[in-house]
Amino acid sequence: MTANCTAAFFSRGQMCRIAKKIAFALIVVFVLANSIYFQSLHDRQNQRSVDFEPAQYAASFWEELQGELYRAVDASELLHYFATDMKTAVERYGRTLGLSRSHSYLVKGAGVIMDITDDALLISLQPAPNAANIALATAFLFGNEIRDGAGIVNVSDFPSTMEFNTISVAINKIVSEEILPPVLKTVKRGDSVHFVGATTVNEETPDIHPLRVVPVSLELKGE
Amino acid sequence: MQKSVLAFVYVMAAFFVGCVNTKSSDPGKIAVVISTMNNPWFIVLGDAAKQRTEELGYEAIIYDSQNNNAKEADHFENIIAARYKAILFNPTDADGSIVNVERAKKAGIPTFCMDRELNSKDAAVTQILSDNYSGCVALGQYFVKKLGKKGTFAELLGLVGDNNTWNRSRGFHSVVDNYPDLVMVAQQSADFDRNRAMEVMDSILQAHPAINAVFCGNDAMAMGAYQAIVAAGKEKQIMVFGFDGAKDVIDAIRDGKIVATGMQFPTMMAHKAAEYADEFLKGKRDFERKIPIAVELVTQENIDKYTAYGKIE
Repeated sequence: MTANCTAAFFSRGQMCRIAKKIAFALIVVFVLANSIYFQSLHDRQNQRSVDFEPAQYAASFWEELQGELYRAVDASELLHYFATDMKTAVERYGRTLGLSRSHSYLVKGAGVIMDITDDALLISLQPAPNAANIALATAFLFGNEIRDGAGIVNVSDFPSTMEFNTISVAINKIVSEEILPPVLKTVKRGDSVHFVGATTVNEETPDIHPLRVVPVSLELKGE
Repeated sequence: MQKSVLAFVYVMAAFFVGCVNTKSSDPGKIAVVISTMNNPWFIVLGDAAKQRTEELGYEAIIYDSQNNNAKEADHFENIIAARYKAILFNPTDADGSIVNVERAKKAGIPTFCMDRELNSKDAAVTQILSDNYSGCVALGQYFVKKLGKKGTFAELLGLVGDNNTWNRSRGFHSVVDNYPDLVMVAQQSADFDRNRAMEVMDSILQAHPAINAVFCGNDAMAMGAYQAIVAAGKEKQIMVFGFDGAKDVIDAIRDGKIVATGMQFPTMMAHKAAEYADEFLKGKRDFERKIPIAVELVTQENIDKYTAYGKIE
């Protein structure tokens, strides 16, 4: 009955033409569906470095870093050079990424905690616990101090600088999630502290009062 | 007869000696291929590369790729056919431009990248790149400070195929995303283009009229966004942040219209690229594959230390 009705409206030739048009439309829809896709900019951004695992890289970096900490310069000595002979500080202890007036250093020291702020432990280096001259960073860890101060990663080894940049994010995460929490739970004013860390200082406009150091290792001793 | 033959031999000998001397004293041509000359920052980059190349004794020709990878490929074909000595190169696409550089390398023509990166460790002899990520970390920290850790903002991205776009955006977000009261309400590409940025900002303002700030991936977009903001009468409400250190924006920071930018050093990058090409052609081979150049934060507080595209020395 239906076929007869259809046949009454369309001849065999018309049916063929309609069938061809439908087939053509289906092909067009199929081709378009497979050639156009929508993706958020954020997804595309993440997709670009999908093969590189920054957390994994940072973990092996951290292991290698432990063997380099013996090179850390004493904080009092470094501060002395910053104040009197910046050129020697840069040449003897600094590590520079590409062409820059900022240089990174591995630094170590011991002192007394003078104050605890939202983003740092303020430390006076022994033996004169007067004014704080080191700020051990405890928050807002965004920089490349550790990656560049260690001097064990070369940007030229990476096909893309995007991968290189994600390393610092992963390293800073190790500091904020593994190194700092046990210390921040118990730390109080007057505690003695031994630290090894990294700092970045601009040779033209050094901001060293106090010197901000991102910790790699921290050891507390009560009053 | 014998005398005339001798004279002919002398003349020919002199001619050939002259030819040989001329050839040996001609150091050849170096191509400067720039992604787009429709942006003042890239004009500075291209002109500085050309000028330094000529100072080093070479002939320099600038090619404008007009942000078009196919046009860039044509330029490389012409450069290879014309047997240039070297290429100072500002790519259009971090992935798409690799094949052009590989082709030049195969033809014995070394390439030296400036500013924009190739996602390759060994296609170019060296890549002199702005440290965009770290520059935008500093800019992000200043952004947080100026907004008092809260508010809504928009972001204008550059070309989505360019690594600089994402290095800047990621550096900025590595800081800003740590503050839950700072909310990004729009993120759109404006292709590093001033006019496009004006259009995009205009539509963002219609959807989000109450935003407090806009972070732009380059200064051309910052100026376009600022124009749209002024047209909407919101220049007192919305803070604009750029990246490049272009003349317009340095002037605007000095006039209190734009809050901050990241200063790149296009002249330094271009000069280094020309000098490295010269060193390569004279036999040096041990180049670092990637050389980041530090980016400096320029604000209304330190603007007196900076000029367009660089620092006051």
